[in-house]
Amino acid sequence: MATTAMLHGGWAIVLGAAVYWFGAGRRAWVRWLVVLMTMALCLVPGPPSPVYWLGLMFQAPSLMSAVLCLAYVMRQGRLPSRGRAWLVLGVTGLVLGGVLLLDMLAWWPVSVYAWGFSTAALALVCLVWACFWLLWWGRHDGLEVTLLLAAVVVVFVLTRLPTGNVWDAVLDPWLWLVLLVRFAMRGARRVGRRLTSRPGSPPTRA
Amino acid sequence: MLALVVCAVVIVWDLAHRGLPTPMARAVMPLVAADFSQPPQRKGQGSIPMPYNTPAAHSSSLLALPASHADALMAFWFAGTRESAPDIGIVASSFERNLQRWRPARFVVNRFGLGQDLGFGVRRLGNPVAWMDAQGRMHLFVVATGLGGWAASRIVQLRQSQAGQSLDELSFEVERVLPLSWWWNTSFLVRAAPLPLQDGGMLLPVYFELGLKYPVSLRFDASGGFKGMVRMSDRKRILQPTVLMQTETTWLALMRDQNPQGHIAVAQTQDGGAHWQDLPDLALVNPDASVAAMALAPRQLWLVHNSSVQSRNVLDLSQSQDGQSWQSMQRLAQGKGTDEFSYPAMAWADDSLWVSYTDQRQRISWQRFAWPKP
Repeated sequence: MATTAMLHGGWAIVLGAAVYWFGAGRRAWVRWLVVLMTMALCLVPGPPSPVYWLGLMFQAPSLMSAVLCLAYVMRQGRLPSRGRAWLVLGVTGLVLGGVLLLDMLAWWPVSVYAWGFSTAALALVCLVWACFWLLWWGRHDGLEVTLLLAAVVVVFVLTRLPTGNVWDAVLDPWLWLVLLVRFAMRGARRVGRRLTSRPGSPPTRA
Repeated sequence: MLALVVCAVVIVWDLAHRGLPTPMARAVMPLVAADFSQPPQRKGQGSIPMPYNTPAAHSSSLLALPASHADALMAFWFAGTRESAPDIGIVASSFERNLQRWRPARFVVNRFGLGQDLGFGVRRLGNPVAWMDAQGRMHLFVVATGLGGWAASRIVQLRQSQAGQSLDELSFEVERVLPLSWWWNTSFLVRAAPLPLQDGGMLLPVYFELGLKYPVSLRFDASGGFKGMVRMSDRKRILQPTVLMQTETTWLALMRDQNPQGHIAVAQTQDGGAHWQDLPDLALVNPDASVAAMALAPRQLWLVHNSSVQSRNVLDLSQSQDGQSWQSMQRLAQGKGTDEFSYPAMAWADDSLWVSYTDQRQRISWQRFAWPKP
């Protein structure tokens, strides 16, 4: 029951946020109407619902994706503030996703995914959460990340959603791919800036 | 300081709600009274009836039923117009003790009903594996694919609903999709029978097959609760493990090997499945085909396997005392050319060893063997 609720509710939030993002520039009431219609459609059982097909391919989204998308919609499309805490969280997610992907391909001597069912893995996530809290609580971005992690950890501990494995709660492959693309674009921009600012390179036009 | 206290509270809450740690797994040897110094006698054979107008069948699983049941054992397999067809479903039949015959087969799981219960679509079904928990409820593990072929598979655990115990009343409800990989929970499949444990639970051998292939064992408690997973081999081209008990905590896993050398791969655990080590391949040849194995008594290990390098047209029953050297005891089936007798399953019921296997991908055949009483 809880798993089905996570499947439908999680995708309703994620798709609602995606539709909200695509609807930028439209009238507010049109945008919200489409978001609500999309979310309502996600709650319909069976093949008419996009969840029936998304679940077939991708199962349920992670709690992290659901909470991030919910925050995005509730803040009416305002992205999180820039800051070191978000950067560190993104890098952590990127590394974790790489480790889990290679784990699925049996690269590691022990199964990292299987470890995600244990309290020890939850303790590691809590330790990361505590680090953000201790290091960046006084900053706006630190507060946002700490509250985000708190929401994910508390919902996971109370419900075990979506699978009982803490890695599935904190990161899903779509979120990892988004991080990968964002960091790749960031890296490409940085390389581009370095190339254009190198001595002897032609001056950029204002 | 507050951060650490909050984290400690979360971890203590988690520990308190997880229950006790899972104890070391100890396997159960079947209670078999037979004189194994004598060769097995074939007591019966034939084909299990197929549902009407169903031309394709594959991958059977046998489940011994309690002595109080009207039937000795139940067989499950997948059937339809062809493998991977949209109409493929899971079929069941059972062997009546009184009349000594198989009941008419019926579909017990189809992909549309399963998709409805899961809340998301299922493209194809396959490889049912049955198990009975400590409360006498049947569990059925089936392969259900997402978008893609068998490599996009997930394992769905179904549990017998309370409707009734007979074949006519048999129905299943979804327990869970087993969470086995982070990458959208692909690509794990199940094929071989579980190893029963002394705590009433079992160890289910499964395998990963997206590009590379490796075996994994899953631990379940007495009520069918999923307790964890352990990779069984460092090798990357072996699949479809079947677990064979040597002692309570020392087990062998015999596996299909995709390498062209054509042998059966082996791994061993000496601590109840907590850790596994690869062993050298068996000397037995095998054409990259599924095998079934079962320990009937200490040093009485039995194996059903295809015994040709190139083809699945020969199926043998072999015996071993140590799991390393095997002796062929019976030829179960022999054909020519592209004939296929494959995907065997074994069970011990009513003082007999039962073997079922795919026969030409059209039906499930069975044979029954018994030994004199000691």
